[in-house]
Amino acid sequence: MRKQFAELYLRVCAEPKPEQLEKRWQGIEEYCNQDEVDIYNLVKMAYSLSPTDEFKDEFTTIFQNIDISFQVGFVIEQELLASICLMKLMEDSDLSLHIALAVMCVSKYGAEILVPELGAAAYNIFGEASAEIREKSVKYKKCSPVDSNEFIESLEELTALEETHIAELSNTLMEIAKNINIIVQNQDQTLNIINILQEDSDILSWITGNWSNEMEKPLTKGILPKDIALLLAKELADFVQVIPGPYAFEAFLKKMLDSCKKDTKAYSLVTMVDSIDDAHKSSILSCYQMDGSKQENTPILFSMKCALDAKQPEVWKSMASNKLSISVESTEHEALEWAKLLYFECLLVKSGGCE
Amino acid sequence: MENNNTEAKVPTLEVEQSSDIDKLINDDIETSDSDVIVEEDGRSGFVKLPHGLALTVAETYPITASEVSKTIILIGPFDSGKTTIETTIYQLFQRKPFAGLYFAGSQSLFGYEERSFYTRLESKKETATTPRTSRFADEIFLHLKLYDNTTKTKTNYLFGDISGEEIYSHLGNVETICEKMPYLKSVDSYVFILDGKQLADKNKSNGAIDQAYNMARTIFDAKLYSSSTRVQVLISKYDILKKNDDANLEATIDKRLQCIVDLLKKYVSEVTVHKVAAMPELGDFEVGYGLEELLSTWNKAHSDNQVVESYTIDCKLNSEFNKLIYKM
Repeated sequence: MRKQFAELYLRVCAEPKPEQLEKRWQGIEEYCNQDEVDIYNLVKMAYSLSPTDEFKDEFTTIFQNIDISFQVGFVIEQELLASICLMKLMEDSDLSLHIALAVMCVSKYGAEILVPELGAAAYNIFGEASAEIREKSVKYKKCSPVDSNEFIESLEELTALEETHIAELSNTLMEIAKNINIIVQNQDQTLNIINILQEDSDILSWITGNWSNEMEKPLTKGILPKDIALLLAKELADFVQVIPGPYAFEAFLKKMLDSCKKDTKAYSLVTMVDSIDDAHKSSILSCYQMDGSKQENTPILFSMKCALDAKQPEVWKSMASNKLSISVESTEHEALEWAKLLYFECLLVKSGGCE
Repeated sequence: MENNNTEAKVPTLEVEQSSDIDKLINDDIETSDSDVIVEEDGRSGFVKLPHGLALTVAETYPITASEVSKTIILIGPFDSGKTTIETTIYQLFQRKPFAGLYFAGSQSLFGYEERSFYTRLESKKETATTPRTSRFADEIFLHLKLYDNTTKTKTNYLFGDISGEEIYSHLGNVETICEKMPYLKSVDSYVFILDGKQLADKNKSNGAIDQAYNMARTIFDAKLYSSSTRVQVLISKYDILKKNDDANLEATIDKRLQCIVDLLKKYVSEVTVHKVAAMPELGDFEVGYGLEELLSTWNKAHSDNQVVESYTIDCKLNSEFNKLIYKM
């Protein structure tokens, strides 16, 4: 990552001095090595989506403490550094999927970021993780047989424990503890398999049924994809038990949308949100909603909330655009793409965005 | 008495002293990074202004680090019209918006004026020309900030004024060009210029195309590009080429240019061909012919295919459930 950093930094400073590069890298490491990293604000900063002032202060202070000449007004440089921090943090397997989902939720809104490799890395991590769930073979461990009957019988006749008995007892207990651990591991794996199979079964039944649970009616050619795409995304996310869900999620959404009227037109976020009624918006938000300023990391869910709060379409558009720093009217995608984006947002909430 | 008081209140401008005039116009003083100068600039009420000349690579940092910027490098042989293209774009903004963009400032106005002077009537020259770009000059970037009324955004354009010989001295030498011009790695657009005047001459046409091809090869073999780099292959002085009225020659040139485009597409995804007559000699062409399209190409948002965001993996799938990704 460090070598890649030197290349990426050229995008804001065409001729950096070695000590400048060294200091910026130190800043990146210092930020990433903190006990708690704010990935939501980092993502906002990387995609020019107005991170909180508190975060901006905290982030720039780290770099200023290392290099007094670091300028708070150099916002493009900060966006690049935030992107590199995210790429470095994605190397940590505990954080990678969560960061990937957070990036995927905001990467399709037309922001020309300096490190487009960040979005590509996020999609790659997501793809590999979702495929791996069903590709990796399960290896159950076998418990080692412990023949302790003779020893137990000998204990019954004893009046006091001798040193050899204590050693043998200790060995037996260790063996039992080891076996219990194996059983627990096997149980976890079994539970995971059951969850995956449950997920498979639910999704296949959903597709076979050709029915929208939210709308409580069958999918027919009389329904426009834009009117149902977001609801179907929520329904699919509901079935996900093992994050990041099925690898073929797009195929499932497409299959369901193909049951509706054929339509390949691109729609704005405003049209998509206004296409679903308040009851369904509330239903989605009751299951999937971020806390506080993290709400802005999920633009579709946040727009739904704005629409519900403001009641009037004209009002919520500007409210959402101002808060999100993206134009909810100019970004246009096909219904399937919007469905995918809401699906990612739901997964982000499921994976811990609402803790 | 009142007059005297008023005069006393007026602060003395530095330029009122003749010795300071030299100091003010002396580029060395303003561009120095020494601490002494910084302290002087830090005096209360004093704001360090840009020196106005073309910028060095290091001087572009405050621009590229603080605002959206695009670096455009024009590469072409001597007298191919690089500087004319840069200065004509600047001059076209002096009357009205151009290509839907508005002039929003420049930190190198003197640099532009210096280069534009010879294209104007005041220079008393019969034909519009620009001074020759000096080889090894450090001040290579002309700065133009433009406002896009459609997207309501400002973008800084940094035009690299690199002499043709500079690239030529590295032809086929990948290491030296990387060492001398590492900043080329971060450019947004390379403009490879073919001199229309040479293309119009059947004896020189092939040589001119080969030159452009070799320059492009040198840059790309040295890996001086990124995933988002764009390339424009540009015929300058198109009015002269068109004057020939030789459809066969133009068709041959187009065919050969397409070969260059195909070659460059192996490195970068966006390669376009442009025909420009920045300061045409003939009446049929208006000043800045083809520049609107060129500027729009630079200003255009990057398409998604620059860096592919795809979640599909290359490995063989075993799970029937995963295989539904292509079965459904």
